[in-house]
Amino acid sequence: MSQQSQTAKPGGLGALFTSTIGLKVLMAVTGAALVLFVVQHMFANLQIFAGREVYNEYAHFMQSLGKLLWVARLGLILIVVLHIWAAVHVARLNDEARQHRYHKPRKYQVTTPWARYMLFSGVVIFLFIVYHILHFTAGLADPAVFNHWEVLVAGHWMPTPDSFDPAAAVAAGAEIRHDAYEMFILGLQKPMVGLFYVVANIALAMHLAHACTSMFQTLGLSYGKYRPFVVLIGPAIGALLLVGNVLMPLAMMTGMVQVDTIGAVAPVSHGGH
Amino acid sequence: MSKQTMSLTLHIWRQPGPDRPGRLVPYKVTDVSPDMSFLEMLDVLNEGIIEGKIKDVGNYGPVVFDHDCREGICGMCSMVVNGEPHGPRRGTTTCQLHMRSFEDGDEIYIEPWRAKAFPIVKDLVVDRSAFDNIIAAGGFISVNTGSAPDANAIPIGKRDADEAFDYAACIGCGACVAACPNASAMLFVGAKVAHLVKMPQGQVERESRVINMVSTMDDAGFGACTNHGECSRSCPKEISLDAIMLLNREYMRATVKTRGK
Repeated sequence: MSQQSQTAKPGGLGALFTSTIGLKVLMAVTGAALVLFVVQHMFANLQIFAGREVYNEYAHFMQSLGKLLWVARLGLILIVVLHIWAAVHVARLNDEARQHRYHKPRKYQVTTPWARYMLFSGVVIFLFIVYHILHFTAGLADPAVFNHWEVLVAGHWMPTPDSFDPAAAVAAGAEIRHDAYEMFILGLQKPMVGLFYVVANIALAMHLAHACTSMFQTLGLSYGKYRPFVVLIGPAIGALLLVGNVLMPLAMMTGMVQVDTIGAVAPVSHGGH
Repeated sequence: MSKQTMSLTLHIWRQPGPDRPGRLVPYKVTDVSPDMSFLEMLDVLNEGIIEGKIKDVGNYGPVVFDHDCREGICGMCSMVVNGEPHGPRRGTTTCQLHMRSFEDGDEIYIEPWRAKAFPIVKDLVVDRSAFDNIIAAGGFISVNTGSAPDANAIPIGKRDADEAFDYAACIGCGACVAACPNASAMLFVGAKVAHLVKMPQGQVERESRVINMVSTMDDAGFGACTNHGECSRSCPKEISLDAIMLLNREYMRATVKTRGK
């Protein structure tokens, strides 16, 4: 007995990337950060129901963060990459460990569909994230919807028509800002796009229904008397995101929320402000 | 139970050796008493096969299965009955499962534990040396040998003693691995780590134990826990999922404490 009992294999951060538990912890920690992000993202987006002024003011504030915004973006991308890397690694390990399957399929007793299809919901979410960034951040997926602008007229931000030329307006000395409000509503009014947003957010809700509870278990925070509470956290956060995030595309698709163009000004290039 | 005896159709996994192909073979067993244990029913089957009273499709001979104490404490009787490790009754090993849990005329599927880390030796017998290796890596405490220590020399709180005992109830049967969609052994390892960490005697090797046991577990080819909870549900000793939570906690603590050493 002996040496084996005295010397532990090297611990520290390295174990985070090599051992099964380390990978789980990595997934839980990155997942926790992403949950906080999606929850705040949902509440921020719900401001769409407060109207053009509130929503665009918020979008403008986010854009004005400048470098800080890029730190957040790159940080989020790094976290997503780590999360996916750990998930793929663990999934491969698990598939390898369970390479022999039962001929009479196992009768699962307590697991849930969302727990069993984490990888599937994760893939849907990943595809959505890629599209969503191209759609509303880079403006490449649907430029016609992305390119909407507001112009500052006598201290008030005014919507502009589709023919508005932002470059010419800036050259003419006008102050403009991105019209995220119109982009959001017009973008999700398209049935197929709206449907994809609905499906992706159902996948997200399913993913988190298992993930948020799992996270507490993995980080060693679901002990004894707290367990009954912890098992409810996942479904609760999943349900919250389901309601909030599905409400928005549905509201746009059904026309419940429409672009409010009151006060639209003539194109600046035609002698506007 | 109105009928005195039962007739059953068994579909049993027959595999002549580790690297040989296996298949499910059907057997008809009659005169099964509802009061027999599941293993006694298999004894009746094997007797029938040996005496030529039960048709032995494929001439595999008697079914080979693990068993020892037949009182639910040794953890040998490993088999998946109708898709459930140790069969349909909760908190019960196969040997303590009685035929009254089944109906006359039932079809019963019997397979070995399946996991990369538990290779099949023959029929329903799997090699569980991986568990022994995990125990050898850290499932022990250091004590001075010699005269027996005074019974109450080390006071242990009631709560800790009870919890340690609950985790110590693990018989190492491997049902958790068999039940897990990922063939993970974390309930087993968690039970061992949680049991010893609750005791003052377990403090000496506290960090090295969890790191070495997890490392050995990973090397053996068990999967990672994704928190389905099937293990705890299938456990004949009903070990709580808290064991895995404590294992995670102990592992994180140990990696931080031993960093750079």
